[in-house]
Amino acid sequence: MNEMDYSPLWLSLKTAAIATVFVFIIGIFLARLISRRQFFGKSVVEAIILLPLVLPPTVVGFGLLFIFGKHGFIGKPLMKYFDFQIVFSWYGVLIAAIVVAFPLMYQSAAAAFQQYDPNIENAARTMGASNWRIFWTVSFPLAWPGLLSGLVLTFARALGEFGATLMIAGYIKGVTDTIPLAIYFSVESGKMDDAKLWVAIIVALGFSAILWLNWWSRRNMQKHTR
Amino acid sequence: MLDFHIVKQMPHFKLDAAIQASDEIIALFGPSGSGKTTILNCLAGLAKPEEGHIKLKDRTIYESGKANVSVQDRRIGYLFQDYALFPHKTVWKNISYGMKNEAFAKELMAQLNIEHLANQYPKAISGGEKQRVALARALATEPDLLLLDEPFSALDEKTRMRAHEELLRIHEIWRIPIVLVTHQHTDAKRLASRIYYIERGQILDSEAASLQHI
Repeated sequence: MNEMDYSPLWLSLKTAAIATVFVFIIGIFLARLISRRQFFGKSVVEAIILLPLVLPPTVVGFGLLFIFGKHGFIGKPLMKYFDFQIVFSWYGVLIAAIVVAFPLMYQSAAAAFQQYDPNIENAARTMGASNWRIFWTVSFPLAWPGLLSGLVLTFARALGEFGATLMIAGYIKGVTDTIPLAIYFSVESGKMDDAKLWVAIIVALGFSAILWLNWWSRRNMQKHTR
Repeated sequence: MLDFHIVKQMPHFKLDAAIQASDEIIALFGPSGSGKTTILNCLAGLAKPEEGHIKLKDRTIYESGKANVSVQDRRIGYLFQDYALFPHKTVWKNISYGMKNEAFAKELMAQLNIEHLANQYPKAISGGEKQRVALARALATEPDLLLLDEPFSALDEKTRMRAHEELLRIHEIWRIPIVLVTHQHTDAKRLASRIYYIERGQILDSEAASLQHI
């Protein structure tokens, strides 16, 4: 039996973790900025944010190629001025993970910030608290259960990303071969044992994430209803 | 002293109300949706009038096109209809959130008889207790004006009477203007020195009411 290469596990975890941190921060920021305000074109902005959720990942990948490809409006200047290529690199894997996972975090965060009475924040405001203090002492703790579920979903989605990743980053061993890609190419090249192991690993990761989230939510619920 | 004139276009009518009050309790009385809470929100700075002015004590906190002091700097205590207590903080953490002086906040808790609730969470206390905690929280900021939005609507009759007495007692000590929004005539009659009848954003009438606390 040949030696197993575990780089897809490391690559997947690294990509999912970095994408999650990025999506978590930007998702919360945008949800705070957009969800409770009414402005012209709000529906269009929200539709654009949520679009990757309903599009086939290959379409998202095509869009990313269009933007970051050699002739794309971001890809071209990056190549010209910085000699830097996103396509077929780990950065492509990261961008694909960020784009497909983003709508989940945005949706969770927007719902979480709308769940409590807005007068709770207003009360803090009348007591002289700055917006920053209100966010950290009131909004964030009250929205935390929803934000955490968004965080776990984001991580799971980023970990499982396949279609868009393949379109923009391709399958390069040790560079862009995340677990989902490793499964696909293991099966294609007849290495069923490798594929089984990767499937077991990714199922175990997803399962423990959901299990932990459920356990945590229940514990949290009990704490607040005591 | 409070002196305001608020003009604001609402979805179905134009709010246009002007009131002057000394350090007394005044009641805004009228049906739901008549613009009472919007007046409180404009006073607190949570909503912006289109025209008019708001003068409190010696400060102009709003003047159309000239001044608009931020919510944080208005020094106005606001007791919201559902109290809006921080559910994830204990009673003491709620009250101390915006307090100016710890000893004073503790004294307030003693006055309102809620000292024993200090370590409880809002979920674990009764409606009457929540109301007193919210009142203590608003007063702990040592405001120049107190706004009360339907503060007694969730209370049973007995608790309501006790809350009336407490408010009168607190006002006796504080001597700041208090604006009470209510749709219960008994609340207005019992507590306010003047009642303003509001309908569709207009003050239809005003009458001097209870004199028992003056």
